[in-house]
Amino acid sequence: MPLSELLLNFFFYVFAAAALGGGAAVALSRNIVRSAFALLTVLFAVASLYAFARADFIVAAQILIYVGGILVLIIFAIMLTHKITDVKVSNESSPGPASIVACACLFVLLVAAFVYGHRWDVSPKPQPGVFLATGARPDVAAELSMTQGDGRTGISEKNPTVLDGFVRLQASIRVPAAGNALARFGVSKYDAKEKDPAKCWKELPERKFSYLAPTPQGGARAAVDLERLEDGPYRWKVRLEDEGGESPWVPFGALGAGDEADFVVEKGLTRALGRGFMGPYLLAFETVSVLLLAALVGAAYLARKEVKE
Amino acid sequence: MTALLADVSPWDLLHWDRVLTAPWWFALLAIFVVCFLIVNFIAVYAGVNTLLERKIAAHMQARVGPYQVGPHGSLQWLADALKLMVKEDVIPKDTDAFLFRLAPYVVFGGSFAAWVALPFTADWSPAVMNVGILYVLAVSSAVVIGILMAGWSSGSKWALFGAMRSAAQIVSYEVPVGITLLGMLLIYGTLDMQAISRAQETGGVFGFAPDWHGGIFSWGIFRHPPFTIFAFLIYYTAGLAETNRTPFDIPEAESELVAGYHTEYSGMRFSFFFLAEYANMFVVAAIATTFFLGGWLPPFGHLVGRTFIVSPFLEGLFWFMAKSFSLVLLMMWLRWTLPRYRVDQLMDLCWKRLTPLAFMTLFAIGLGEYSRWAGLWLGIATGVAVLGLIVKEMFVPPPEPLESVHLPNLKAAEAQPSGPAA
Repeated sequence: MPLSELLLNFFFYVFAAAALGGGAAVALSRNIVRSAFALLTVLFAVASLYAFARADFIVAAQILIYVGGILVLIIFAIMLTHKITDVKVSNESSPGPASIVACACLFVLLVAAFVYGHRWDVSPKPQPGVFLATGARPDVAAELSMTQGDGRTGISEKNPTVLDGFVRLQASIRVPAAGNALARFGVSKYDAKEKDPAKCWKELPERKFSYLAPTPQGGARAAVDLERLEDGPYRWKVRLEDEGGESPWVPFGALGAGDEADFVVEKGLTRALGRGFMGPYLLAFETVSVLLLAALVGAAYLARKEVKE
Repeated sequence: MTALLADVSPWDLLHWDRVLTAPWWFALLAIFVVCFLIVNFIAVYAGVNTLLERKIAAHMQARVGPYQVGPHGSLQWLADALKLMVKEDVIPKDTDAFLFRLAPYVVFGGSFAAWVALPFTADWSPAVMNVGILYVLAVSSAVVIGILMAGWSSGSKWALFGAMRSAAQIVSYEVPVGITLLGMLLIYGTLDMQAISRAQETGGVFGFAPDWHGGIFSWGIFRHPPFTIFAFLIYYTAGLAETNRTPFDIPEAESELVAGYHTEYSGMRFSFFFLAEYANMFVVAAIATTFFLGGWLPPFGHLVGRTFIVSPFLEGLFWFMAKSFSLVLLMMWLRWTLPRYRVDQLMDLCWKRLTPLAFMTLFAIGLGEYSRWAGLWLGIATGVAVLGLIVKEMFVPPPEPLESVHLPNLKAAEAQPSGPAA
């Protein structure tokens, strides 16, 4: 059984439990400094849950901002206030029944959003692509597909053979692969300056290869990423070493758009986030930052109240 | 068992991408092996470095240093380690015992976790991570929390003052560190530390001749001179402050705070703080190596005609370690050369000197990446100005203070009746 199925499940529940336990410690501890330090557990556990969603950038940003910035600020603020050990746990200004009703409503809302909102479908989707018989073994037909890495799949809209961003080339087969089966990917670029039509496709010197990894459906899959490609028409092929056989050259973009958000997220998150924040979500992003201002005003108000007493 | 072993080779133990698809027991074993190697490397490296540091200090002060254990005292670090391990673990009465016990592990965990993303050798690091540098900076921030935890739970004012100073210092100096690294990231266009190392194999000054194998002249520090050189100096200075090393060691200033945040610790728990400090020094040196000094690339690849001669793994490891340890050695040298800063001087340096300079390098590198000719002219102009300043400092004597300016003021002050005494 591969790591992804046993170990990752185990650690997912460990971190989920740590997040819940840490949250309980934050809420229930009678010592406010201990509450603040218990927040460390929560923040790290939540960061590792993001890691399970393959959101590397969010993991690092979560720790950097919340642990390195906000938690330090909270601890500083607590240490600068007096009477830190005997704080009354419950907030007297909020009436009990009303808060229970509010919490119940929020809970129902969350459950409703979870059930009726976005479908959390994690099962692999059938991949549209082209089947290419690979020769030596007729039962091993490699399915080739490619995804583009800036949040959308497919190739540049303006010209279907011109590439922008980076792509993931993927070959999958429906039968289990042998032990260390290698898939070698070849990529060639069209050289417009070359006069001789026999030599106009120049193969890129770097050798891309990947091992065939088993898939949950019982097949195997190999993928490589191509980055920093210049504009221009490209084509690619794959050779499955142990299974035998080699696909013909396939032009980029000839395979049709595959809907594979799974793979896009893994590599292109930083770029996609940056484009999102500076593009369509700029206003929302800036508006959310007002929240910090509100928190600052609230903190100043509370601190002044404390001095008056 | 043999069938299981047929799928994997021992070499795969070191390769994270193979581990992901390996059987679960192999994955656990691989994680254990890598962590075991790193933890033991940190322990031995910190031990040897304590001896080195004492010897360097001794020779700089015309002493001999440790001399009793082993030839020329060379086994002193083993004796120290043994002593720390068998020493009593004292937990004072007024501590918050749970947090007091936990704090050393948080500090050490934070600095240890950063090691798995370092690009130790050509195309190999313990974990493959495409947000490498961001991850290193992020997990390092756990160190601040650990230090605050240690200081507060000790129940001692020296420890608390030390912790507050240390946290304020680390949080402040993360600003210039972040901004200088951001400037360098503009050049490389990736957060992956392996990709950053590889990007310095080719390239020229100001982005001219991107395919040129320039050896040392393709490294990050020469990409946009003099701004990348400034960035290196700013990063190294701020990194020194982040590790609480002299001249920025006010959190553990002996003359003021006994020993700072680890005043109340003894035995093994104290040695965890100790290991963390040395581990952090290496992380700072390794980041400087990766961003500015070409990572695992040899300095004269262009003369030989190819990057590596025999084994990329071993040669890359050698060059990375050689560069990083040289920077660590420089930290020790500085420690025994410079006196300690005062708190206000420290903050002054960070917020009024390093941060504006770091913004300047960010702007200049951004301009150079946008247009290489603009970068070239700005670089030449700044270089000439800086050289002029240096020449002026070296050869033009400072103006003599004019006595005639001060004397009338003094006399005026004496002539005036001053307060109730007069």
